[in-house]
Order: sequence, then C-alpha cells, then structure tokens
Amino acid sequence: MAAPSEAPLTAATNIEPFYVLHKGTASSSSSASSLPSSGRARRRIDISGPASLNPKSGKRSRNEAADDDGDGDEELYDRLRLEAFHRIWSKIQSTINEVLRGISLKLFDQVLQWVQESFSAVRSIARPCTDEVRQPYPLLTDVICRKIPTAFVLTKNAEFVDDITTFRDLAEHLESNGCHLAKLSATELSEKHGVGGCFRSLLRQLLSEVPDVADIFALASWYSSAENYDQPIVVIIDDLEQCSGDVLGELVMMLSEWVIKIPIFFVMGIATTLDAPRKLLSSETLQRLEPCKLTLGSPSDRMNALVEAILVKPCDGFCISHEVAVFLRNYFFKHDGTITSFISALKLACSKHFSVEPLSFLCMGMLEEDCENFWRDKFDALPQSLWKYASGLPSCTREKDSIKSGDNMVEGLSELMKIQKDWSSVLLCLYEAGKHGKVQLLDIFCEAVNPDLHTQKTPNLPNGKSGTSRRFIDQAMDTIRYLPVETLFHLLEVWSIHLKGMDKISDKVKELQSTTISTDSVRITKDKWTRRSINSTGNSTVALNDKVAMLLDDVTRKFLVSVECLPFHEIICFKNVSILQSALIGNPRRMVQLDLLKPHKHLKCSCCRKNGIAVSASMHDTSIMCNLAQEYGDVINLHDWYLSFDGIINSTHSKVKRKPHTSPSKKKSKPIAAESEAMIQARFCRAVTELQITGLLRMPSKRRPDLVQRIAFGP
Amino acid sequence: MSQSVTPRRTTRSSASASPSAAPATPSSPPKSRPKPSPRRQLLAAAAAAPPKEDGSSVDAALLDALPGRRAQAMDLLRLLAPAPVLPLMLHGGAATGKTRALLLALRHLRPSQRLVYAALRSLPSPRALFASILSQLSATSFSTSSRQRLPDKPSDFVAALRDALTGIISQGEVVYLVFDNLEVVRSWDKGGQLLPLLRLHDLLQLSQVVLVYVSSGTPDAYYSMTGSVEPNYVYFPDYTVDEVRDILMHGHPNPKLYSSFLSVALKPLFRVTRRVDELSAVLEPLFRRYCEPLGDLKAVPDEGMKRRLFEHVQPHLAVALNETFSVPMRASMDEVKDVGSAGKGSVKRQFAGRDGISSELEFHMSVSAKYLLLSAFLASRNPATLDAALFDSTGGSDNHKRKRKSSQASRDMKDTIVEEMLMKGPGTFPLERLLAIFQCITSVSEDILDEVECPDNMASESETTGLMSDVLLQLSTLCNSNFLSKSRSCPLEGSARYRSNIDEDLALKVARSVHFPLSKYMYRR
Repeated sequence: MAAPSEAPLTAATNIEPFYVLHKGTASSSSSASSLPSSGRARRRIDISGPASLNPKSGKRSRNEAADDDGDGDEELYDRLRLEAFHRIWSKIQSTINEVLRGISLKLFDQVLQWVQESFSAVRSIARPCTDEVRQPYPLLTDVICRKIPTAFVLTKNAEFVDDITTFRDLAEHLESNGCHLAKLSATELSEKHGVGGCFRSLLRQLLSEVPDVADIFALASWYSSAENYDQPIVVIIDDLEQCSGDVLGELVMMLSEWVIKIPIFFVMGIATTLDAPRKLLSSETLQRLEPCKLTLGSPSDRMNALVEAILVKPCDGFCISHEVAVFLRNYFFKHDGTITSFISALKLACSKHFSVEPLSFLCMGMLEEDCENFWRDKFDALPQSLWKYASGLPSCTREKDSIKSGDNMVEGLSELMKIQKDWSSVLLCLYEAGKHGKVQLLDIFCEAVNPDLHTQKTPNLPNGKSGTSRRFIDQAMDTIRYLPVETLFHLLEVWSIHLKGMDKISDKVKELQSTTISTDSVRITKDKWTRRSINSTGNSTVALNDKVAMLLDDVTRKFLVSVECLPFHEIICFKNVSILQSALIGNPRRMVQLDLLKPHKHLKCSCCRKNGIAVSASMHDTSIMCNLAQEYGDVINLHDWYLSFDGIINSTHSKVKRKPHTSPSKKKSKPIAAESEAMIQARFCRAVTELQITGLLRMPSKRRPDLVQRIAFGP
Repeated sequence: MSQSVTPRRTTRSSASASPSAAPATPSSPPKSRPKPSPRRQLLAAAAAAPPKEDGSSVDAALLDALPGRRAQAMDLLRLLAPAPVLPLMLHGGAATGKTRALLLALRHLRPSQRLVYAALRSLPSPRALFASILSQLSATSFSTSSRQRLPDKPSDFVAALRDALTGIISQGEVVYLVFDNLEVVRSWDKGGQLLPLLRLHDLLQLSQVVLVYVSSGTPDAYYSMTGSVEPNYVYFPDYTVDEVRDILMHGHPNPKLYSSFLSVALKPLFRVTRRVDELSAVLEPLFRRYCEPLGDLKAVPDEGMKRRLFEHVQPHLAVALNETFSVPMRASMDEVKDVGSAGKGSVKRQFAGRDGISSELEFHMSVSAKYLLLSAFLASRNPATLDAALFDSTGGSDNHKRKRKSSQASRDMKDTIVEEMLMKGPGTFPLERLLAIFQCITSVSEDILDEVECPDNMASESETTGLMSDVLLQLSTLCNSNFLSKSRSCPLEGSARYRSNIDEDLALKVARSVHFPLSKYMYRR
C-alpha cells in the first residue's frame, strides 16, 4: 500500500498551510514564568532523545540547549509534537486510504469484469483483421445497431469531490489490468472545445504522437498495430452531469460507428440519478449506448467504515471529544456531505490538537510497542513547567486528589488506553446490533463519546428524558429484541470476535451462543412434531433476545465510558470545537463586515481607540462607509451617503485645521476644500467599489440609478 | 419533391446531358446515359421492370443480404454498373440500410474497385474530411504534394483532389467517392462547407469519378440552393412490419420460437418506432425475458406454450412500450439489475423495486443542499408575486390558509398567473429571492427538525448560522449536478439568474427525505 500513501487525497493534502505550529498556550505561559530547567532534566532528554527522535534533531537540540535553557526545551517539545503529529497523521492517513481503497476495490473489480465481458462480446461479433480495421468504411456485419458498452457508475453523492480519487484509482486499476485508458473531463467535453478538441485529447492520451489532423483513422491505425490490438479501450468520463450533451452525443455517435473495429467502452460517473444521461443526451445517442449500472458504496457506508477504522478502533493515539464529534457529524450530514471535507476537518483537528496541547507528543507512545517505557522516559525528562501542567490537567484534579509521580501518570495513560480499547469493542458490538436497524456508526459514536452518557443513565430517568441522549444506542438495543434467531446467532459470533480480550464478557457470549444452538435445535424438533409449539418457541426466542439485549445493556453500562471522563484524556483528545468551527464554516462575508465595522480591533491604532465607537475621519474610507451604511435600510441613497461621508471627512479636516491655526484664514482653507472635493469623490467611489467587491452591496440598477442595494445585513 | 423545383432542374439537367441525349441502353458506355427530369418516375419504372443484365441468379446473394431492399438494390446496381455521369444520392430515414446497400452493391459490382469513403459523422471537421479523403487516395498508389500540406480551404481541397484523382484516372480506373452521413455537414460552419462538396461534380469535371452521397435528410435540403447538377436519387423508405420481421428473423438460431415471439411483440412496438435498430434494441431483452420460462432454448413452442409465454412477457411488454417512447435504455438497465437479484418471480420484485426506488432519494446530498434545492424549485415554480403570501415572518404555514380565502377575483388573477407560469415552464429567479426563500424554509423547518429528529442540543444552536453560511458553495454544487442552471453574467454584478431543472418527483423525494411539507408551499390551481 505504498501508492495511496504517496498520493493522498488531493483535498486533504491541501490543508498543509493551516498547520502553523503555534506555541502552545500553556507552554508559552510557562515560558513566561520561565522555570529554568535543570541540567539533569536536559541530560535526560539528550539520552532519551536519540531513541525516539531522529539523531539529527537530537543533536540540534543539544547544541541549542547549550545556548539557552528555556527556549531549547520549548523548541524540543515543539519539535516532538510536530513529529508526533506527522507520525500519527500519516498513520491515520494510510488507514483512511486503505479503507477507501478497500471499498472501491469491489467496484473496480466489477468494472474490470464488465470490461472483459463486453470485450469478448464485441469480439464475438467480428474479429476484424488489421487491414479491415484501417478501412474507412464500416464493416458489414449482421449487427443491426452498433452500441457502445457503457457503464454508468452511480457515485451516490451530489457532491463530486470524493469521487475524483475514486475514478483516478479506477483508471490505474484498469490500466494495470491491460486496458488502454483515456480520461475525458467535463472541460474537454464542453462546447468550447467541441468534438474535435475532445477527440484530440483522447488521442493524446492513447497515441504517443498525435497527428496534425486528429481523426478516427489515426486511432484506427494505432489500434490495428499488433501490440495494441488485443485490449479494449476504456474511456472514463467522471462527471457526466457537467459535460455538454451535444459534444458527448457527437462523440458517442462517432465512436459507435467504429465500435466493432475499435472496441471503445465508456465508464461514466453519475452523481445523481440515472435520469442524468437521459436528460443530457438525445435518444439517438442513448440508443448507441449499451448501458450497465454499477454503484459505488454510498457516502454513509464509506463514512461508517472510516469512523470504524479511525475513530473507533483504538491505538491511533488521537481521538475527538463529544462536541467535536457532534460538530463533525452535523457538518457532514447538514453542510458538506463529502468524505473529503470530513477528512480534512479531522486533519485540521489533529494538527490543532498537536499544536495547542503541550503534552500531546505523548500520543506517540500509543504507537510504540512498549508504550509504558516510552512514557516513563518522557515523564522523567519532562521539565518542571510541563510537569506542573500535567498534574494540573482538569481531568486529573477532578478524579483524584493529587498525582505527583510519573508512574501514576504512566499508569493513568495505560489505563486510558485499556479502557479505550474496551470502549471501542463494546461500541462495535453495539454497531453490529444497530446495523440490522439501519443505525449509522457515526450516530452511535457520537452518543458513545458523550461524557454525560455515563452520568445520565445511572439515575434511570423516565424514558422520554434519557431518550434524547442515547437514542441510537437504545435503537440498537431494540433491534436485538426483534432479531430472528439466525441473525442473532450470527450477531453473537461477530461479537465474540470483537470482544476478544475481554474474557468475562466473551464467556457470557459463548454461553448465550450455546443456548442459541440448543433452542435452535429444539425449535426444529418441535416444529417437526407439533404445530402448536410455535407459541412456546416464540417465547423462548423472545427470552433469548432479551438475554442478549440485557447482556449488551449491561456491557454498555460498564464499559461504554467516554474518554472525556477519564484522567489524562486531554493528552489524546481534541476538544476545541470552536477552532474547528471557525476554520470550516468561515462565513467570510460576515467576517469582512465585522472587521470593517470595528477596524481598530485589528489595526490597534491610537487615533480610533480614543474616539471609541463613533466614526472618525482617521478610519479607513471603506470602514467609514460601511459604518454609515448601517444607518440605512436595504437601499442606500447615494447622495445622502456621499454627503455624510463628506461630512465626516471634512469635519476632522476642519478640526485638524482649526487646532493648529487658531484663526483660520478663509483664503487658505478654500482651495484645500475645493481640491479635496474631487479627492473625496474619488475616495467615495473607491470605497463603494471595495464594498461591492467584498459583496456587501450591489451597484445601482438602471431603473434606480441613485440607490445602491445593501446585501449584507446585521452586525 | 416539390413542384416548384422541377422546371429548373429540367433545364439544368438537360443542359448538362444534352450532348449525349440519346435513348437509354444499359450496356452503352457511361457517358451516354441520359437523365430525364422526373427521375423518380424513371426509378419506379425501372424497379418494376428489372433490367435484363442484372440476372436474378447473380444478385441472389446480394438481395438476400438486403432483405426488403430489393427495389433499391436493383436501382443501385443499374445506376452504378456503368460508371454514371451524374452523382448519386441515397436518401431515406435513419437505419433503412442505405450504407449497407451501397457497400454491398459496390462490392458486388467490382470487387476491386477504388472506393474512397468518408463518413462525415466520424470526421469532426472539414479539415479532417479533406485529410481523410486525400490520404485514402494517395496512400496506396502515389504520394502527391497534398500529402505534405493539408488544405484548409475547400478550394484548395478541390484542387488537391483533382490532382490526386487525375493521376488515378489516367491509369484507367474508376473511382467511387462516397460521402456518408451528409446531413452532418449542415451543422459545420453554417453549411458553408456544403456547397463545394455538392458541386464536386461540376468542379472536378472528371467523368470517371463517381460521386455517391448518402444522407438521411431529404435532397431538398441540399440541392435547392446550389445551382449545380442534380444527382440521381435512390430513396430508401422505412421498412414495413413484414420487412422488419424478415430482418429480425435473419439468421436467428431458433426461428420458430422467435417468430412466435415477434408475432406477439413486434406489432405493438412497431406502432411506437419503425426504426429497425431501435426495435432490435428493445426486442432483445424482451426476447430473453420471453424465453425465461423455457428450459430448452431450442424448443419449438406449441400453442399452449405460446400462450403461457405471452402471459409471461406481457407485463414487460407494457413497460417496454412506455419506455421505448422516451428512451429505450431502461429495459436493459433492469436487465442488469435483475441479473444481480436473479431468480424466479423477479417480475414482481422488479416492479416493487421500481416503486421502492421512486419513493426515496438514491443519492446523498447534505441537508442544506436539499433545502436549497427545494427553495430553488419553489422559486422556479411559484410566481414571485405570491412569495409574500406563502412565506412571511411567521414562516407562512399558518398564514397561508388565511391568504387563500381571499376574494374570488384576486384568486382568479393568481390562477391565471400560475397557469402562465406552468405554461412557460420553470421560471428564472435572482439569487436574492432564492436566499430569501431558503431562509424562510429553514427557519420553519428548524422547529420541524427539532420535533422529528430532536438533534443534540448543541447541534441546534449552530444550525441557524451554520445552514446559511456556505449556501453559495451548495449552490455551485447544485449547478454542477445540473439541478440548477445559471445564466452567465458578471460575477461582480451578482445579478445572475437561476432556474431549477428538477421535476416535481425529485423535489418531492428530496422534501420527503428532510420531512419538509413541500406541497404546502407549492402553488397549484
């Protein structure tokens, strides 16, 4: 799996610039208090450094440590955190790629099989020799209608971003299996390029050199050469909806005439429904296609697989809190709905976590084999400031009276890991049960990380109340009650796999499994003998279902402990939802307006602060205009606006003038005012244009030339 | 053929044919073949009384390969046999066997003839056409200067073509120049390229070059304006039912079974389309369905069996009839689907499945995109004047009823507006209106969402601001998936107008998936 990690998701890689390694809030504050780290500690770092870091950075840290104490430490931990981020994220990234690839591989094999079948079907009609392929006139066969085999791949997501990589991988897959491959995008299949341009780009991808006139004969003579002859040509069009129907239609008509000589097949990606090709192409063209429908896993399937692999399965050393999980879920379902943005949000969360949380470098330990040793090393080397910080973590102070020794911390972390593991096994069991009731893993996950889950259910509130916080978990439990015996048995089997390592519970599951078998056999024998006994068997299965549900309920109560309830969870758990929110839901227009209304917040100039809220001439023109615009409704009279703008500019002009010259001579002030009249108009115009460009207002229409419209409202 | 054209044609053809205006003898040299004006009558007569030379024994194979095209084949043979003076045009609807007949006839006449064939459909531009023809002429025998430089202009092409042709003709060969899919040229360059192609005969003035045009358009489309010599026409009419049956039966492994199938299926489908290719496309999956109950495909069905098979295939036939009408693609689509869920009784499941599909959305879309799509649909469907009535500060749902009880006159007026809207199809709307409706809808559904889904407490907090924030991104998504179309305009101006392209079914599906009472907001008469 080297290839996917080398070429990660395009959109996900693009957030690299976001990763600015801030100095952690706590660590910067600690540097302010500046406890000079003891020489002993530093030496420890040097010893432990080469073991975990690459030797180069260790060396560098030693050199710098010689220069000054505090900074060196800080830098070292910054670097450690950065390294931890890189390691953990690359692990997550490769997991993601693996999961997504695994899902799409099923489709790829289907497509390949379809290609091979269609190829043999085409070849069974006729197997033209090379000369025949080159002939310009069509082959005379008994085929009444020449059709191009076409696979419509339904991507099941209106948003297209996720599928870019899917189709790229599909192309690679087909190519590695010996198909000639070309990809046409919507830009090539546009009116602008026409069918000629589109055909040229097709040739460019297949032929080594494209002749001056790109026509189908060039393709035919290329195809008729021996080394190309025995493979089909597959043309992938990944976003059918965006193509121009006319151009695609022409291309289809053109190629369909030749399909027996040059077996070209289409693979077309459809984001919406099968109606898309019908709407896009003429019936004449559609007739030339021999369609076949293939579907990609739906986004929620992919999401489930991803959540399972990244968030639920333990040992990645990074997890998210309930708030973040809920935010991500809502963002996925309500706003964006793409896996790509989910992943980039996760990456953002991950990078933020490692940049903000001073102790986050300890997450790396979760990836080590001997994590306790790793942690012990690290703890011994911790400088005082971080030490203090660690023991001051809210989760520790809440749980236990005092934790001072490193051992305790190590223990705490190991405990955390263990509980996390149990938690994930139980969660997976829940999901397995919920699958039968169409419960999504992301939903269950969001409930399972809820720290209130634990506290809420103990008092055993009336159903209506508790239902809000654990709706999906209850739903999963409910489905168990109505499962037929066979599925129940299967479910128990899957559970016993998930629960490996939790001996007590897996014993219980085994017990239940044995009873399932016995009741199963009992039912069969009873069915043989009497019909009456259906009632009683019904009872027994119900009892069994209840037993299983009770077991699950019991296990859930015991083990489904949210990370946020555990000590030291801050080290691995990202909680800061507001950072994520502002990064993902930018709301730029609002931000621009806010900044314009309160420029001194950013400029921090002395002149404006003095005046307070009032609009002053020293402000930027656009800012003044924006402030003035707040006084109007949805339309602004340009003249009024100009006058008030002029008033503000001039008021201070005169003020400024008045102050130095206590007796202003009219002669002097006049020419300046006249000059600034034109100047003010120009400034006014520029400000209006800037407001227009930022999308805060719209220029006057022809009908009402003296009014501009406001677009953005509210502070 | 229009009457008004006839006299002009007469004069022209008589002028061109006057030197050799002699009584027709099929065996005479090509030049002496006269072309009297009412060509259609001549052809009809010729078809009625086949020429002596084209003995039936020679043509048996040819005619056998062209079922239902006897008259046309005869015409072709007669017109092509001695290289004719006048060009030839084969015309008739799509899939009537023009190209096939021509190629077979040419092969039949001279197995080693020089054939230059250009299917204009597979040539994207005039330049490609020129290149293709010249390379076909030059590739085998000699390389002219045209090989190095491709002509761009039609006049250059004609010159190059003449050069190439004279070389070949001097060796005593007859060259057939075939232009297939001539109708395509009309879309090139507003037909400017068409003239030199049609006037090639006049321009080349080479007697041993036979020009053959094949077109699915009528000849009126080409020769009314050119002022050049009109070709001989061979008309290929649509096939009749019996001919279609013959064609379909041709070479079938189990003719008895297939003919019993055709006797059931062909007639109703023939009412929908007469094109053989379309029919064969529809019939193929139907026949597979027809054979499903049969264990042995070689079996010869008796009456009882036929009836059973008919009952089996009838529901599918009804479906196919409807689908052929729009797009004959779904049939094979279901085929594929059924292969997956193979088994007996798949008929019912298939129909049930189709219903199931129609009730829920097949693809994923984020909630805000769904709301945006719904508001776009409403904006396109409802007249803008009714917006205030439908949506107001209270969200509209309760106010709506009160408004409807307005006076008869105003209601009538609204009705006419609505009717007008329906007649015009989906209307366009500016972005502001879309956003306004979007905000109304989401503010109302906020409560609905709370009731139905009861999302987590913090989710609903961020909802209001959240839903609005990236609307413009969603808008571009919708435009990309062709749900909305956008008129181009200056992006700064922001006055682009949109139109929703979705039908009511899809809108209802989307509405159902977010539990939105769409029908409440849709203005109907």
